[in-house]
Amino acid sequence: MAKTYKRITQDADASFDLDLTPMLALIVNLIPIMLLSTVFVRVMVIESPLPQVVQKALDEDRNKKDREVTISLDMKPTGFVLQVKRDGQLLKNVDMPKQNSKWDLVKLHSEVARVKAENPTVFRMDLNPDREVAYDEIVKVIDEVRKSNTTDPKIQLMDKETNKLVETDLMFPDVVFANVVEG
Amino acid sequence: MRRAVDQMIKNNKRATFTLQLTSMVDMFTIMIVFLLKSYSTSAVNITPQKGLQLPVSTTMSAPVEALKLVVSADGIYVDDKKIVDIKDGRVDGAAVESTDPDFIRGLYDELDKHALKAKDIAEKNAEVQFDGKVVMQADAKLPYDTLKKVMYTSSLAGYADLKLATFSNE
Repeated sequence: MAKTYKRITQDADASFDLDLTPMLALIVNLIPIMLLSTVFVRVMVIESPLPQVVQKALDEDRNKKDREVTISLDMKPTGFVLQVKRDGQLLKNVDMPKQNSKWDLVKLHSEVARVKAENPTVFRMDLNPDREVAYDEIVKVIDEVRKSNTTDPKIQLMDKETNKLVETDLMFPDVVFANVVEG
Repeated sequence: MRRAVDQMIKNNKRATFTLQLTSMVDMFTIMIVFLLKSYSTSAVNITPQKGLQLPVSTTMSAPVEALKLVVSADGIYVDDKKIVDIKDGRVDGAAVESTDPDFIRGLYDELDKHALKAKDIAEKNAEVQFDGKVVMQADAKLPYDTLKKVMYTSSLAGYADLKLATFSNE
């Protein structure tokens, strides 16, 4: 009986506090390192190749067969004008006037998605903003035409190697400022 | 008096304590997780110039190593060196060629200098090649007219692979 009592007393004394000091020292060292090397504002890039002045005419002539369809979007003071041309002939012309002096980005997206569904192999869009359009408005437009939403018609491409249809959410990732060299 | 001192020592005998660090460790752990989440593993990081308000975009393309071209509300900078003044969002009239209103002579000269230097390095080092890449950090409120002048001049100087720097909204 006395033995059992002794064992219980020993067990009661066996409780301990975890020594967190080394862990704390580690964290205190880690935090300044992380604070110095952490980027709080993330800057990303939109790729937009410019047409080369001299090469432009040559490239267009050389790649005429490759680029039968040209899709262009004008940002005019009155609104958007979306044009689809095949071999220089106008196939489609969509006017999207501003709504309460704001760009109609919702309509633009739906029209661009429709054009993309009709031309799934075309990934380039020529953007022609007016001189007075603000840069952030241009970036919003580039965002709208780059990718499709879940509600848009599916973009399907034929994989020539496997003969299978491949789905993509990319609409026009290659946005080119076509009027840069127009002067 | 002696009795009072004895009583005080007796009372303070059990006044030792251990510091409770658990809540502090909790706080630090949360901080570490937050910092790790925003820790960037990208090799190239762009730090926007003070006062420069970049546009916000959904793009997730990481920045690349390229020539840094900044178009802020007060001027055009190439690699942090001010080249041309901008007043009220427009390029200073004196900096633009009279025969070609989109051509900025000072900017062309500076970019051309960088292009020549890069081409010279590419000639001597086979691992390096001049690809005409330029990352443009432009203020969100600037009109396209100003940016067009910069892009036009940049493409003439051989920097035609333009990347637009934006804030990520993710």
